[in-house]
Amino acid sequence: MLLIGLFVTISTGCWDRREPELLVFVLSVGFDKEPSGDYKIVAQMFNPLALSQEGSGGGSPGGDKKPSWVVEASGQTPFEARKNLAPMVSRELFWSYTSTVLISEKLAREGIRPIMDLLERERQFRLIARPLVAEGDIKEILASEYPLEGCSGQALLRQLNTGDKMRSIAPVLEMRELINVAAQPGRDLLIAKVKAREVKEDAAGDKEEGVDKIVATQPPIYLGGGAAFCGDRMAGWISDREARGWHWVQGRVRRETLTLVIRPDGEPVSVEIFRVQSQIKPVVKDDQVTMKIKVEVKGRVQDQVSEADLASERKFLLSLEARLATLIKNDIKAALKRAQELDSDFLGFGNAVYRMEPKKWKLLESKWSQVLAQLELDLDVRADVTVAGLIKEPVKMK
Amino acid sequence: MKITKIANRQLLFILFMMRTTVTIAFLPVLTSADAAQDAWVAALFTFLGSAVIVILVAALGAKYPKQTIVEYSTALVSTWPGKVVSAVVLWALFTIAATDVRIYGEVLVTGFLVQTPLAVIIGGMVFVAAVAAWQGIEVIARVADTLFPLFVLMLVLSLGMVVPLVEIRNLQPVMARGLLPVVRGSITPTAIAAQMLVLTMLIPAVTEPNRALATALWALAGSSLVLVVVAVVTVGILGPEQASRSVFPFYVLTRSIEVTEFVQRIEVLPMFAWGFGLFIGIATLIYSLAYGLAQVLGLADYRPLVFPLAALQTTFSVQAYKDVFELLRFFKPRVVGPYILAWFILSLFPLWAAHFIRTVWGSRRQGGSDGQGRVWGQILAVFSFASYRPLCDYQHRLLGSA
Repeated sequence: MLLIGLFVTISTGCWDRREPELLVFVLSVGFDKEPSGDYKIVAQMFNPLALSQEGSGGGSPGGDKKPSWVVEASGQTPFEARKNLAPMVSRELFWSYTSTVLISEKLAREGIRPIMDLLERERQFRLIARPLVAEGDIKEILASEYPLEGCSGQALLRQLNTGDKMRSIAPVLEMRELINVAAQPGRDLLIAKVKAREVKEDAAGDKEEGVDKIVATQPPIYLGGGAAFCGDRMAGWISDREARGWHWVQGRVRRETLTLVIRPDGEPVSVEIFRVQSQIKPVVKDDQVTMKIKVEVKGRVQDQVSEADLASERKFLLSLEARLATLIKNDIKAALKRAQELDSDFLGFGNAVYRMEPKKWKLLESKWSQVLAQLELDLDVRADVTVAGLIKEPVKMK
Repeated sequence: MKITKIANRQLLFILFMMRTTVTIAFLPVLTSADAAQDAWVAALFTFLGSAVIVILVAALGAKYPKQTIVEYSTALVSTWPGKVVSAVVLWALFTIAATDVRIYGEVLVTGFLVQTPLAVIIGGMVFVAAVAAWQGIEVIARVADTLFPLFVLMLVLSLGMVVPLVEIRNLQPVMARGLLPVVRGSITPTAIAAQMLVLTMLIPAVTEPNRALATALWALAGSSLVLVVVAVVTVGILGPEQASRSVFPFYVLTRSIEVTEFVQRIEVLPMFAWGFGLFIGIATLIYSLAYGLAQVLGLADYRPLVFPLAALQTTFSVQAYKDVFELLRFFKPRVVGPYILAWFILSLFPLWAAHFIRTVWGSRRQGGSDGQGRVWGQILAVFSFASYRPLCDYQHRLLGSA
């Protein structure tokens, strides 16, 4: 009895014991495909030794350690590639804190289902990670230096969150939403695009070290636009503006600034949209589908190059609002046009039919691609500029 | 045996925790068939189906408030058929306990303790539950009293935090494929309501046995409400397809969301709740099992049986299902439906028939002999047994290849 007790107390705690000293956190992971067809994995690890640097100065064991390390490996499956990292890394890789997943353009074009399967099945990965499709070299993105952040993984996550808050030009999703969208009828994936800095022999590098170098450091990435998919394969890139159209349709705009010229002097004004509501309703008549999209936005004036007096001249304000609405309509039209070109229903129009007219969807499902090509829009955009900022009219120069 | 009593409130807590735990662990309304976004409707259907089972079990028990099924089955269909009936009920309790604890083990092995052998996890849980069962139903009931508020708190916390993320469009279209997928989805969770067979042993222990049926129905209503909410939340956040593909959808849900940057990884909350609920459930099942077996064998005390049964339980739980796929296959409607129907046909249907005939007989001729009622009971038992095959065929025809 004593023996059994001893056995139970000792052994139960040990099977799955994990010492934090033996782990290294992977903050960002990239997937690519080798020319041979093997999957390549690029892992960006956060070096815990770099943390001790700040506290104890140069004397610590981690004196001049870099905070980040990037390693790559390949294998026949994504998981094998991941496993092949082990012989190169002194600690056990720990994936629960992986917050961004980069997918190379090549892999995206050949199909991302294997990656989705791994991320969903494997117990360490968490579906709160954000997927990104990378234009350019993944390793370049992960190994770049991010002046404001400790390492690339943190930087990417923070930039995604900030980007989603400040602009609406990149469709930021979590893996959870991505898998959900992928499985829904009549809806194709749209994943945010991150573009690596173009590697070029910049003039600033040749100058002497010091202030110039800091000022001249190019931003390592640009976050905007997206990759539209057809099934699990990428069909093509979409631009910032088309991605914005997606945001209007989905009602996901949190903040976006639109700049437009107004009467009477034809000079520009910037309006920040801070609230958006949108509704989609499909009208199906045989094979002709019309999407009734109603968008209501609220905006505030951020700056005015134009000298129009919006406070006292109501017609200028009305014209501003009408032009805003037109601009938004054009965004949505541009997005649809791109969707038709790529034959990728990333706007989820088919899904709207499936949800609201399930019987008609059954008839249309098999030929949706043709239906999408002839799909028409019935846009009803209402823009209200409700806040003027702190001043009501431009300063009058005398 | 010493007479022990528990309050109806405590019975309610026990039944609620037992049922809620299993139905949300792998969310059979969603995963066992193709109900998809209509899982919440299936959960409503489940409530109706389970209510029938509860009424079957508890209403008969309430007619014999001082006896367990072992005793009143002997009275209704004579000694040996009565023992067969008791054996079926005991077998049912044994299987249910083993399967429940296996599901819990699988969650832990999948999500947390990947290297730990199943036998250790299951053995640990069964051992703790057996200790509680050895102490008697009063102790289990008091533990249920203590754990119930925590259980509810964990559930409310984990659900409350995720509710804002629900997207209604994931639940559309509603009932677009007609009624059948919903019915298919509700069969397995209804079958799981066979857990309520513990009532056949517990009713004599309750202070107000005639209100036991109401108590059980309230417990069922409560857990069905939780089930509906969990189904809505899970599908609303993960989407119908992703949720149905998951082995443990609610667990997947809680680990794949980020409430804020600082509040994430809330999967510990439901895991705690499951641990509590499962402990209460297993302890109650082992107690009922040992108590019933002791009565069948004519023993004076059930306690010597508790630990041997617990050992058997652990072995059976590990061995009965080869792997998680087999466990999941067991919960397909076409497997679990007929299986659990068989339990009822062999136990409660003949008892009800005998009871019915006996009361009719009794009212028609005063002082009519029990003997005739018993004979009729036996005949009806054979008849209901014969109806098993056609009933299963009917279910298969109705459901197609679910």
